[in-house]
Amino acid sequence: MEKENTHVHQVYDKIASHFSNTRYKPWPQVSKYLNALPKGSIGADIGCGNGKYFTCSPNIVIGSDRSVELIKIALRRSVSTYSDAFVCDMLNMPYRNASLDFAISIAAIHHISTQDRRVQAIKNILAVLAPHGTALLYVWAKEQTNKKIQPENPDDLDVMVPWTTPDGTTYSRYYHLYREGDINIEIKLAGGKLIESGYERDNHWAVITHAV
Amino acid sequence: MKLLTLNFVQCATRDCAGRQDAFPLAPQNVQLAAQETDLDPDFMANILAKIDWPGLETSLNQLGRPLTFTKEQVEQDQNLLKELHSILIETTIQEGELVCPRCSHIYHVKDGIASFLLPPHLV
Repeated sequence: MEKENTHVHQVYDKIASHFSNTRYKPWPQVSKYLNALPKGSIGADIGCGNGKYFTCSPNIVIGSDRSVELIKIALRRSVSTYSDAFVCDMLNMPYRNASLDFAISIAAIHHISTQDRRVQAIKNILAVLAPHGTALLYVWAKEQTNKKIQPENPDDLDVMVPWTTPDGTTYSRYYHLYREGDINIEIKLAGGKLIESGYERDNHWAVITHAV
Repeated sequence: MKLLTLNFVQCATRDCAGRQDAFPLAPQNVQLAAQETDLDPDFMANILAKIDWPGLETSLNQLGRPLTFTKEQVEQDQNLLKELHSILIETTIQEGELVCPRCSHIYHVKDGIASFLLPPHLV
C-alpha cells in the first residue's frame, strides 16, 4: 500500500495538469457504452481523472478520484452541467448503496497492488449499482506491445511506468498488468456477472452487473 | 459540491459503509453558492425517479431551506421542476462540513471540493 501512496497517489497530484492535457479524447468503447444508456441516467466515474467522460454522453456523471489536483480540473469541467466530482479512494467510496444506473472505472483498478483489494474495489462498484445497473471496467493488458511498460522479468505482472513532465522530471507509476481472463476471475470473486468483454487500446474491458 | 450529489453520498467508514442510517450526511457551517445551469427536462425526469426524497427533505431542513412541494406536485408542474433544478443542480456547497448521522464522522468541503478520504483507523 506504501507503493500505491508513493507511486500512484502522490504521482497523480504532481503530474495532474500535464496528464490532463494528454487525456482529452474519449475512448470509442467507453463512449459507445455511455451513449447506449437511457438518456438522463445517473452514474459514477470511479477514478475519473480530469472528468473527460462527463460530457461525452447525455447522462449525469458523479466522478471521483483519489487525486485532489485531478478533481480540481474535473470540477472546472462540471461547471454549468449536471455532473459533479469529489475526492475519495475507490476502496472506501461514499456513493449511496444501490443508487446508481451505471458506473465506469476506466484505467483505475490496475493501480491497486493486491488481488484482495482489487476484488474489494469491484465489490464496491457493484454495491453502488441499482439492481438494473451495469458497470464498465477498463484495465491495462499484459498483452500490449509497448516496450516501456514491459517488466524486466517477462512473467512479472507488476510494473513501474515512467511519466516525464515538460520540466524533465520523471515519476514512476505503479500498474498491475492483466492477462486475458484475469479480470473475469476478479469479477467472479467480487460476486459480479460478466455481460460483455473485449480488448481496446491495450486494455481489457468488461461490462458487469450483479450476479442474481 | 452540488446538492444533487449530497443526495447520492453516505458515510464511507468501515462501520457505516452500505448502511442506510449513515445517510444523509448533515451539512454544518456551510457556505452555499449559486451556479447558473441550463434546465434539462430529460435529466430532471430521471432525477425525480432516482433521488431519495426523505433524504432530500432532511437535507433541505438541515440547510434551513425546507422543500415546499412534493414529488407528485413536481411531476405535474414545470415551474416546480425549474425550482427543483435550481435547488439540486444550481446550488453548491462551497465550504463546510458534512456530518455522518450514525457515527458523527466529519467530512470537509473546501473551495467546493468535498473530500471523503478517511484516516487509516476508519477504513
